[in-house]
Amino acid sequence: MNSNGKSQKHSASTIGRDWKWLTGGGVVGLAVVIGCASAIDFKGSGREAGSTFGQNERVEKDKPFTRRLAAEAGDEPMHNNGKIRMPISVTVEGDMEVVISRDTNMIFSITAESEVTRLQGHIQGGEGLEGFPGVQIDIPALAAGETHMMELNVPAKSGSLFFRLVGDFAEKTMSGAYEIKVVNPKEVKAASKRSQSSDMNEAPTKDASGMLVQPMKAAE
Amino acid sequence: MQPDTSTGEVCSASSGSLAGESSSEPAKGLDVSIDPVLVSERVPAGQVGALSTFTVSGLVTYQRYYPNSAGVGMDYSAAATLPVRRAVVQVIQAPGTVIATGRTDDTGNYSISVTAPGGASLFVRVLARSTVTNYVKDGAGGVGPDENCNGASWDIRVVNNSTNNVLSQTDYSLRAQYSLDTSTFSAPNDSTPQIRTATAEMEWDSVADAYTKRAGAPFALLDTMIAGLETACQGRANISFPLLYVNWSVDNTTTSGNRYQGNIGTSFFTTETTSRVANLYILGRVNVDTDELDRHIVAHEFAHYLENKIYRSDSIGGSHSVSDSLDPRLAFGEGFGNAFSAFVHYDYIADKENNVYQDTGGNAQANGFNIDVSLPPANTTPPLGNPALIHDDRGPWSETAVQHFLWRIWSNPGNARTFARIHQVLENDHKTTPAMTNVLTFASHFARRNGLATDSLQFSWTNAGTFNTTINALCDGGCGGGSPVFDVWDSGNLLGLDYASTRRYRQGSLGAVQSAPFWQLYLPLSSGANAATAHDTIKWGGYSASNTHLNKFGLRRLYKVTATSSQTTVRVSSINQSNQTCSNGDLLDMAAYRQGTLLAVDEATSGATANCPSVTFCSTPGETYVIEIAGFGTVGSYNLEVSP
Repeated sequence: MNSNGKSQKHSASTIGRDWKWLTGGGVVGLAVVIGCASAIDFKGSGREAGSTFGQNERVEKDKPFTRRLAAEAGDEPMHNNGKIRMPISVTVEGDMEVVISRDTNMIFSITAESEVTRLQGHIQGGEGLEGFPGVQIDIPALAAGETHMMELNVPAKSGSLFFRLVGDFAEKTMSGAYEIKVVNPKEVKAASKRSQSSDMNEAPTKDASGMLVQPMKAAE
Repeated sequence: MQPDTSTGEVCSASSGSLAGESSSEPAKGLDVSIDPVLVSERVPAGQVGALSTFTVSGLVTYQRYYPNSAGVGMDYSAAATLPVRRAVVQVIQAPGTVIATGRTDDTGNYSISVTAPGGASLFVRVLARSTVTNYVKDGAGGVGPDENCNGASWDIRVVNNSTNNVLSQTDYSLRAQYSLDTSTFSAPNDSTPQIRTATAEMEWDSVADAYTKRAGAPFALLDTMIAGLETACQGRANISFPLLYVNWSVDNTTTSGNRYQGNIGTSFFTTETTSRVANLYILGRVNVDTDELDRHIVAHEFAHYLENKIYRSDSIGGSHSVSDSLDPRLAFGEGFGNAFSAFVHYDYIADKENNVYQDTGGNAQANGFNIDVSLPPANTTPPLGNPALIHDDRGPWSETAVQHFLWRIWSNPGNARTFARIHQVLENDHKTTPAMTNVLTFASHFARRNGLATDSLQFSWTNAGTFNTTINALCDGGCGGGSPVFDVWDSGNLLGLDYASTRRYRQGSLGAVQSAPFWQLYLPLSSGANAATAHDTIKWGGYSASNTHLNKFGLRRLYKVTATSSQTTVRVSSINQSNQTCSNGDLLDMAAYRQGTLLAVDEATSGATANCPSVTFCSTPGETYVIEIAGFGTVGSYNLEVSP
């Protein structure tokens, strides 16, 4: 559990926002603030694995056979959902980017796609959110499909929150890093970031034939 | 009932591949010229003298780091310097007129004859692009499994997808081509040779946790592509590889969103626009996740390009991980990708295998995980119950089992670590099989082509910790005797009979024993009513019902039906699940395939038979088709009917 927050754990047999209040010792707790990042943790299960699944409810409304045939440009499906990853997803209120113009408490969700027996890591701010104090994460276990939710106070600054997690799964310990982007419209950053690498900072240019090139400096 | 999409119209032309493709518009900007401008057509620039002809030559190299020997994290202690192989080299008269073009050989050397005005300001530009028609071995040696692609053609372009321009989603000319430029030099007034070396550097600042030099990254990606081509060419030398874009940017991060802004989510393969242009997207976000140096990941995604463009993939996609119990089509694609990454990176010169798939990430790329494809699955036993009954880690639904099986065939000393025989099956038999592409299809055809003992196929199937089941599953009536009949369907369900007594289905902490029909990959259907069996059920295994889990074993049930007429209809005639009827509920959808191509679907979500889907499709009497039922919730059983 988060060291600076309180948590809620959801009964595996019920669905919805029926959270139990728990801390590491199973005691009702309130948010504890370390630095200026307040966090409230709770764990919820959408629909539970195997026999506890609500049997009579269709769970995906899109089309299993033809959904990939109608993708818009730029949204074509990743073959097999991309590379092998730690089966954990991180979102903030269902998305991976938030737009805020004032400091806001937001719900972050860490969802296990496969059973994880322990998940540890931390959240760190960067790219403009360096002032965001680090938040430690230590979740004892999540069943497949179960979600651990945290309420964090997000400063109204454009930048990124980096979730760096390590989890123990059935056959392997895996790690993953997740970037949640925070945008304050009043604090617009350059649209395209420049690399810190000195050999890659030139703007794209066209050659005489019209080919757009991204020039890089050679060492000679 | 009538299918709810046009693909289900009676006897209309088949439509729809399950590979990703866009309905939006065709691609633009693919024809980007790299050819030189003729002398007669050049516009003189600045003060120049008379024309002279001379040679520009040199060595082009790139630098890279490797994941550390512990298998977790990047080793930044020293960068290796490697040749840039088969890349386009241009001699450019400043500011941007291409006046000569050549290509590096497998040692990174190039030599180009140039005609230019004396005193003209020139520079050499090396593109992170390899464009070759009818490749001829250069005999230059190199660093990898070179010189297999005699007569092959390809066009691979490493470009910057982070354009901040939405139009670049369909206009590829807006994605900047990475290029390495030398400093300028003056053209001689005579034939004096000019030597220009160029290195794309990589330099990591461990104090700032940042790259100070990163030009090597696009060339590292290109080099893995070349190695991938060469591996595929072990199977056929003159493959014509379709155009492939490799999209990489320092902005490419794990955030999902607009790919043209770097929000790619992860590294992956896809096809884009109605032109179905092949694209890899590769992560590049420092201190989050970078993959340009995670060469096994890049090779794995290249394998998906091969599946999509050279071979065939029936994978249904979706999230997956190493210990998952997956749909066998997905498990084969992923297992193949992992195994292929080891094939690509086998060091033929040092005779050293590189079997560990490594993924680095996190702060300073110091974290990550690895997968050793030379190891079988872990053989998970349930914590309670009969330990002799293992979970289903070892089976056609395990990507780990598939990758180890393919690796064993490749690594067997009798095979000399060549991909050739694997390629033969994938390029030929897998493309035309009426069954779905999975490891049973592969193994059956491999055995038919080469014999059961070749490359230790039989041992790898039965005893190597992959499937641990009978070899007879590959042959109709068993594989004994002098003339086995190889069978992609396992018509006798020998695999299922075996697994019913040795396995537990991944369901809860204990697992669950299932009867033979449940394990059967394809249940045969016959004309008329087909009463429910243990195969006709939807189970979720140990997974939750969320939209990322519709690809796990037990959720998609496959059937085979041999047509007796020019039109065939298959329908669910009734469903047995609490409170469910054909008109009340929507737990089942159905599709029909011919050789992996979608013929008809019923994905209706409402209506009188939303819960009892049906498909009608044109058929050829005597030909076998695959029927698939997708489940969206636990279903105890259902009955099927085939007509005629």
